[in-house]
Amino acid sequence: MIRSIIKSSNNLLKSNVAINSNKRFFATEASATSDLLTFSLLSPHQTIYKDKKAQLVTLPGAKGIFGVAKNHVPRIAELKPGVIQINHENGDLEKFFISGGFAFVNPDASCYINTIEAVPIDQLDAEEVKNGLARYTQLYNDAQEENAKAVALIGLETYQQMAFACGVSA
Amino acid sequence: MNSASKLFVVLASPANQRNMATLKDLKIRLGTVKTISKLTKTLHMVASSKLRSAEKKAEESGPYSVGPQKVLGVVETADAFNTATEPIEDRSNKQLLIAITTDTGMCGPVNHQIIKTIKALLKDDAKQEILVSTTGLKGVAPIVADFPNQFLINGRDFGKADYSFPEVLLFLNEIISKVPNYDSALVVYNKFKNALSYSVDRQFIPGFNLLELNRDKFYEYTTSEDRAATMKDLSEFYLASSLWTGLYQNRASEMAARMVAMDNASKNGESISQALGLQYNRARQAMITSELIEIVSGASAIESSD
Repeated sequence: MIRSIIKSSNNLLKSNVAINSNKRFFATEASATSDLLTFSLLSPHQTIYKDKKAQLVTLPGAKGIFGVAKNHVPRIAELKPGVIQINHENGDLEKFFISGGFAFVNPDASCYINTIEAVPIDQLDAEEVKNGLARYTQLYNDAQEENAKAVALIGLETYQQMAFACGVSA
Repeated sequence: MNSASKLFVVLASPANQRNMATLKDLKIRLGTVKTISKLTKTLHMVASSKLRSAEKKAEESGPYSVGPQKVLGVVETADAFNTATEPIEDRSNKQLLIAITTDTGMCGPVNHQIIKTIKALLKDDAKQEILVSTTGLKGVAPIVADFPNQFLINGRDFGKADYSFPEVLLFLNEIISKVPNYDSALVVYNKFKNALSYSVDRQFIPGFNLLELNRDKFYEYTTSEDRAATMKDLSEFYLASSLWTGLYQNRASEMAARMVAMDNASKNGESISQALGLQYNRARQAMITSELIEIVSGASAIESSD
């Protein structure tokens, strides 16, 4: 009899401990995720990240580079060619080069980055970037019409950003 | 003269001639049915192998329109135009309708359902405010036949191997250059659920005038200083991403529908060719029997006359 009581109380103790530890576990996890941003990085052909957690995402906005963390003001931003930098949950740093797009920062701490084209920085060919930069500089200097000049300028800016991203100097 | 003698010959032995003719006809029909069954079977196989990749792509491209939808999805109707207090300067009074159809047929009711939906919309639209553009060939003829004034452009032959985003943008650019200040746009496509079911779905895209009128619905979002320009770009981007997602959904639905339709067709073809084969053999047997009887009776007649 006594033995069984001891046993059951023992069990109770154990389960209590388990509950406590569970609680603690949930609590710590909640505090860990609460200051993280949920973001999705999308290109038309590929879903690169979907609902991924990150500490900070830095985006090349049309009006200047800006960082998005949790509790950022809701924002609709056009993106220009440049580098997206992702500070992952575990502190890893990842960089993508994008050709433009839109970013939506929602009130619920989620962020959607819709790019037109996105490639990891290390997949950029430095040699090709150098060639492209030279080509578009030439095109820009030669362009007579306003329209052609604008087109060349877009290409030039894209290549300048690309050159900047992979450390090539013109 | 020649034809008359032919006619005479036919009349001379009508029973035999008819038998021969039916046999030949049967053989030709049997051959046709068998060839078509082979064709449908191949199409079935092609569609089922393409379905897998189309399904995967539909899944991959699906989230692309989620971002803008989350922001702009709150504007679901164009009602704000009716309640607007001040007249809007650069309003076009036009609604764009982009219907996604397929280039080739033989895919069940995929295109038919889309066309039915669009025609219903066009019939309700007494003021002729809707302008239809289609991707794919199959939507053109039925819409042009009934509503020639409301057809804008058609993007045929695009996405033959696979869709590309720049191509979609070029197509949209063509539309938008014709109707720059669209009130709103609607993309109509077949939403893919699984290999056996899909249904017509539509995505409403508010034009930038409408977005400006509904400003309070997403007031909390900050933009750059030039809010109107951002809204215009945003509306166009939403249209592009919706069309992009819709194209892949429709492609997957098309493949699924074609798979089912071609499977049914080859099953039907098989049963028809079986029935025809039976009929052919029976007729052949009957002809041989009757010829044999003729020979035997002829021989016995000669014998008995001797």
